[in-house]
Amino acid sequence: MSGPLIELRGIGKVYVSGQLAVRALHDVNLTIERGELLAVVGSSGSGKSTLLSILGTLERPTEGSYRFEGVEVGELAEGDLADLRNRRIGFVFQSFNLLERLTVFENVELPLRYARIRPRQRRARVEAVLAALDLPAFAGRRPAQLSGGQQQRVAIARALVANPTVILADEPTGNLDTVATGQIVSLLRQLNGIGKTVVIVTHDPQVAAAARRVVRISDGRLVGTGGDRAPSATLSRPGEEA
Amino acid sequence: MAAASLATAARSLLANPLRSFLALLGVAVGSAALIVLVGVGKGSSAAVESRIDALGTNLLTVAPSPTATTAGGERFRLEEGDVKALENRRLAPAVKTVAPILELPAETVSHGTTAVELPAIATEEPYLALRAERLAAGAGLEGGGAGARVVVVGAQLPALLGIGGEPIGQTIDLDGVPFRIAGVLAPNGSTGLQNEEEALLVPLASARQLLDQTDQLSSLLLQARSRAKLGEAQTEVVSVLAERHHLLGATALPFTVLSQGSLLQTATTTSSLLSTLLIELAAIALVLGAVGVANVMLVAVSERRREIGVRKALGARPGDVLAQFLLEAVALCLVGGVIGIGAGIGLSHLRLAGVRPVVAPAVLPLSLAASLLVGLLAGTHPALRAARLTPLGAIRQ
Repeated sequence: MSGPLIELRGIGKVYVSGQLAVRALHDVNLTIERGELLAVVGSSGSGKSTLLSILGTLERPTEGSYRFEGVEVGELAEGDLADLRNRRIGFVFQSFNLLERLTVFENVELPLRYARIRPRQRRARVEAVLAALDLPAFAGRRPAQLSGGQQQRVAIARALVANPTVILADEPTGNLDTVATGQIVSLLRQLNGIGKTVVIVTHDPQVAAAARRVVRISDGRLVGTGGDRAPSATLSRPGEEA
Repeated sequence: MAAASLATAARSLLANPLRSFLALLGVAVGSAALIVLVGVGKGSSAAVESRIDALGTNLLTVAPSPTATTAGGERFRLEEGDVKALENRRLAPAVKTVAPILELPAETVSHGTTAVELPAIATEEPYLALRAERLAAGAGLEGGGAGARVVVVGAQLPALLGIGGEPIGQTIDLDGVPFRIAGVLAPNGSTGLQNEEEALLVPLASARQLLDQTDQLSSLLLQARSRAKLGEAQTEVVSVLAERHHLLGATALPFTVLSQGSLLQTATTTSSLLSTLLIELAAIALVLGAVGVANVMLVAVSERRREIGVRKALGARPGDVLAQFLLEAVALCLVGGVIGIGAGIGLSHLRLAGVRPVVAPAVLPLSLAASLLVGLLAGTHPALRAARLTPLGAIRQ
């Protein structure tokens, strides 16, 4: 398939609450190619999570054009957007967002259920992704029985299971300790290594250092779209130079 | 998908077992009420129909219309002369037997120190045969001859008056006048306002002599010579009474002549009205159950916004979320419905308001279908709310 994976042109987002209107994004223009490992950095409240939500079609922009694989997302109905999220996009959230009542296996299986995949195929794919992430031993456990790092690996397994084109990770290491952070960043890089497009939103420069391209957002505007560079080979520990 | 969805629904409901139980209790009560109240309606109809059947065949009942008057402006009354005329084979050849009935207002009936207020019926011997009443003991109304101070009592009356041992030959006072119990009716299982188990029958002649009654009558019970002659007998009764009371040419007769069929029809109409009323009561109970389920489902949607957001982020379509919450509401109501059916069948073994409910097999699937409908009605609004949540708004919650 030719053309960029994602194209944002003049994207703006205004939140209205009663009489109050807050502009979260101003005229954002961004192109993401297939196979990129991109970090979106910025301080808290800068608009980076809003940008990721729009990229993930979790909300619609109030202005501008968003094309995903050449398709104008703004013209898609809710059901089509759900299909796009299900088949093309994998989400990794800061707070994992695993469903507490479901087991690890059932959490990972959810996207396949919404894709109407047959039970036998679902089982095979879930087992494969759990094995790839070294999680088979936790398949029957509930999220509350796992550590933060293990929960985030389960969330990544869930994001991967439907074989999406892009992984969108919103502060994926925000709730993790240094060791788990290193593991998760390494995992995201491995996924990028096998051809997945990965977009990481982070305010942590050390996590951003793992990306091939870093874009900075400030007060809802992209202030640097970054060029390709070699990512740092290893994650810096706190106190170390990136 | 369906099995997994059911399992998810069950797990969600079991996450708050007390809340789910209280919600389904409302539906269970409604469902049980539907079975029991419909059963009471049917049981009551069956009892009335069996009592009308027990009246015997080929019967006619003649009674004055409540407000009717004769051409002269006087209140229409049946009297002894009417009985004599109708017993005349020349005037009414299709009429076989006539039993006069005088309903006496509630009088004090006592035995020793026990006294109760009871209405009595003054009549003649054919009455028992026409009503198909059997005597459990003793003789009929004419056992002591004309004008004798004898009574025939219902099966439960001796006990009601504290008469121990053999009631035949015992004396009871009716409005201060002593009467000897000549016969006791066999139990017939009747209940309600006109409880024949507590009946008190006195000879008409005795009532006239001893209880200051005039020759007026409350009604007449007649038997036609055969079922085929019932219509003929009805015409003869109208004709004889109209002539005797100078009503020939009147546009509306001040009395009614009802056959057993019309009695049955009246009773059926009354029963079906009662049944409708009871079904409406059960429906109200089910609606209240639905309100409870809707409330619980609204709370569930509010509490599970994050879960809804995550599911939508993973690819759940609005229809998937709608189906999930609708399924939970329906599952809750169906469980309530099944519990209600069990409770309803159990309660139907009891006698309620003097009636043994009759559980019609058709009411069981009807009750389950009503529970399903309640689930759909109660779950639709909360499920639509869940389906309309935006993924991000829900996740941020």
